Amino acid sequence: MAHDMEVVNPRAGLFRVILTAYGLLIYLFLFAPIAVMILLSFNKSKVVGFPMTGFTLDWYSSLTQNMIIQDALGKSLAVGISVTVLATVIGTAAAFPLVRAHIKYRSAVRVFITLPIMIPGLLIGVAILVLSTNILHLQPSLPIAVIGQTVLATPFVILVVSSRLESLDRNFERAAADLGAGPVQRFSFVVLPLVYPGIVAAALMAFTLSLDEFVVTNFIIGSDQTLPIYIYSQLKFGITPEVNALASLMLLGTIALVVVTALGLRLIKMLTAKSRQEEKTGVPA
Amino acid sequence: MASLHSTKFDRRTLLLGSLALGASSFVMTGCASGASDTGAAGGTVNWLTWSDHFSNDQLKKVAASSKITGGPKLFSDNADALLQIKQTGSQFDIVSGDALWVKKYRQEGLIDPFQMDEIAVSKELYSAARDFSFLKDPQGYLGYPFSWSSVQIYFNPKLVKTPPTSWESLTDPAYKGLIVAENIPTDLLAIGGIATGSKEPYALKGDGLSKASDFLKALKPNIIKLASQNNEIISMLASGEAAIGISNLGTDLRVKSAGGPQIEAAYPTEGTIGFIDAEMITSKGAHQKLVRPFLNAMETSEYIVENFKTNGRPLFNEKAANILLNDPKTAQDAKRLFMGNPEKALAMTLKGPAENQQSYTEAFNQIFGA
Amino acid sequence: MATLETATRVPDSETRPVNPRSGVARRERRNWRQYVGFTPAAIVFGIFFIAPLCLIVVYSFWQTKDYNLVPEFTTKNYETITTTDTYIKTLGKTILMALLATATTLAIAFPFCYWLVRYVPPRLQRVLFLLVILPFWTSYLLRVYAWVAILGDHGAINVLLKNLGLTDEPVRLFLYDTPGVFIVLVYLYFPFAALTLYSSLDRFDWSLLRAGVDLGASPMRSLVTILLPQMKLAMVTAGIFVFIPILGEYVAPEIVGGTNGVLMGNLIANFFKGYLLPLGSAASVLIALVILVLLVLFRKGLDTKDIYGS
Repeated sequence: MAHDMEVVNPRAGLFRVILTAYGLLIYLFLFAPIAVMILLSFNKSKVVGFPMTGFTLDWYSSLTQNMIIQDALGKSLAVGISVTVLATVIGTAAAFPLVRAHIKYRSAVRVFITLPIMIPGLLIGVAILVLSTNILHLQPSLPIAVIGQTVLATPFVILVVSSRLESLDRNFERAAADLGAGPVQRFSFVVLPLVYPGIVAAALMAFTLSLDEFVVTNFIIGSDQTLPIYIYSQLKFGITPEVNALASLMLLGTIALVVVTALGLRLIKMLTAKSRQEEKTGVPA
Repeated sequence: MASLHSTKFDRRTLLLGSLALGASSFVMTGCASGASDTGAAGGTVNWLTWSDHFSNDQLKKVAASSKITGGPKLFSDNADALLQIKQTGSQFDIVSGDALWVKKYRQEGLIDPFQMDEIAVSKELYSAARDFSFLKDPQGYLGYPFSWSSVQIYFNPKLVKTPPTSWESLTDPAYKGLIVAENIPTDLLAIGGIATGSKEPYALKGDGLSKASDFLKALKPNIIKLASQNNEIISMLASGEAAIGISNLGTDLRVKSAGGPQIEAAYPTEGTIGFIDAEMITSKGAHQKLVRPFLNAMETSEYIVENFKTNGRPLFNEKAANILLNDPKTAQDAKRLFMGNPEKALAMTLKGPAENQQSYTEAFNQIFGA
Repeated sequence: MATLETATRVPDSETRPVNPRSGVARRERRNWRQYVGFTPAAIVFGIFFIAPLCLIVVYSFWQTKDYNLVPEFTTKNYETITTTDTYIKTLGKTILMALLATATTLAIAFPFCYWLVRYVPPRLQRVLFLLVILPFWTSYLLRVYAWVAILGDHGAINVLLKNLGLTDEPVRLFLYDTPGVFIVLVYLYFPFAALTLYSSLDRFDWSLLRAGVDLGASPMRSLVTILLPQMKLAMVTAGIFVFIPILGEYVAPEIVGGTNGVLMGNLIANFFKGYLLPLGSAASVLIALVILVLLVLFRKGLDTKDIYGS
């Protein structure tokens, strides 16, 4: 913290106050739209916007009646899980050679890997659409949307896992090798336990990305709807606060998911620590 | 954990295992998109349409009685819908479209003609509606007529000092930032054509096209937003964000019921475009067999009456028209909004595709690009 | 005492853990084995990323007649894009907007991250940092649409101004115009910049600043001459991750931009919606080229090892 500077800087105290105020202002800026969004989900008025004509939970209850939303939720989850698994597997597999293999033009490979993130989603969506309808003669459909989203999510997985992998001290593996462990054992007992939080984080990232993905999906999903596509059609064609209620619930769901994952990771850490303790002492903890 | 010691945590098996998991969930999604089709004994019908062609209530009731669930997906511009149908094959069973676009769908081989008798409720339609020349095909009828309207000017008398009287008058700088219109390039250029005296607003080229473009360029600063669909025009007029709207019949009713002010209609001296819309049956739809019974259930006079009350523009169901004209509560609006005068529909310049769609899109982009 | 960490590090790619039982033959085989991990990625990206993009490039040289693609070679599409007034203006406007938004986002994010790293207790830091990411877990569409409710005629700002008695008429400064798009873009991309800058600031050795002061520099001078140069790489990375995606933005301008806030992405979307594939493809290729050039120029910024470490 900045205590070290405060000793020498007479104005540090003022600096701290200004910066803190600034920080809080930033949070206000960040959360204002979200607060507005959640607030308006309780608005009695049918139109999404101020003024608040009354307070009601009706929009939340109408969500349970809305078959279209529930269908979209199911599709979003199905797509999300598929994309997460595919992106995590493909991305993790690719992270290893990116970090460890002998590559002549590593930065070129890096540029290439980040391309799907950088190229406008609009272009990627249209390109995949055109490829599937004109060349492969496949209709836009849910599986194609899964593939499209995987293309988008995998670079993130690669980035996260590879940076985790890079900070991994190879000497651990060398030590294990010196002790006689083969490559497979080195992977499963040294690398994996050290890297898996990164993989989990990457998977989580892929999942949240998929849940909110709109641009590319819109082009290649055909007549099905995921939640973002439903929200977009509501935005364009007549929005009611029901959509706000939906978004608020989605936010809650994602927060819950992240919290559960974080707790889960901590649980695993505790359990493995316990079992290691068992092994060491030969006595159950 | 003893288990970790014993299992051969081979990297390859790990990879294969997770790929298998991924592949299976992948297959699951394929099934998920198919699973929604088999509801009860009936099924689902996928419908590409406008938001004012149905109500959620109506869909529920129809699903309960006929066991067929309608799954609407919304669009606003006919060109959009045509493209979607072209690219998706079996995914849509019904598509809604405006008058002259129907012929185009047929030309592209995207829809199938049908016999009016196959849909029993068609007896309730005006006889003129069952005889539209642009819906006729040697092999039957191409679309089930639904509604019609002209597209004219609506304004808020409280916010607009001098009421507009013509398309040309809308370019007056006094109206800066007051106008909202629907984002349909083809129709906007057609309006430009009508404003500049063209006889064929949907076949503009060369000089005619550039005159229409100039009109739109002059209009641009007065337009605050190009709305994605009619609902947005209604809400902007209701909230006062826009004071003038280019929209169809019934806008004043809908703005009022959305809690907005009483707005008035102005019929431009140069004339208007208008639409007659219909439901078409796609050729490759997966649930073709369900379409006719679905339409039969949806297009009954009771729902049409409700539709008029909500949307305020005329429809072609004669039985519904009589109900509305005879009910003292709705008679006045029904008369004013031409529910009993379907012949007026044919007097408008009907919406359709442009002869050279590409030039229209390019012209539009050049005007509204930056 | 020399530890494993301080011993000279040989790059990982040059050595691998030696299994005493390996022989020369094994090492030869391992040469191609090391690239195996790339295979699934190569397949997926090859078919569903590279191939489609190549198709788009091909299409940019073709023509359309009436909703049908005609494979006749022409450079007319590129000519149209590069010579038509409106398109050039839009492209220029998009690049300018992206530059401004990037500069603003970085300028706002830096003091914020500085505050977070220096003045917030470590425990709280992680929570507060997560709070910055949290908006990402809300629907992107609704985050944009919420600004309509804030900036609009009946939005929060105008209601506030009216209640404070400052205005009679609604202030229509931002919505449905370029400034509105600008605000929304900065809002959307702030977390990207914050993420990168925070990670980098977190690794910075703050005792260096104290050392600078001890050597006679003023605290501010110490900050500028010691901290900022080390942050250059992070700034570049943050800049890339904000500037480039903005070039392709079209949903946000569509929702809050009105007729004046049109960006290149909207134009391209309009082309594609009208099935003007060749024109849309040509425009997209041009944007993609700009992006590619930038990525190559600033490729150092993509080496996230120093930035995202853990």
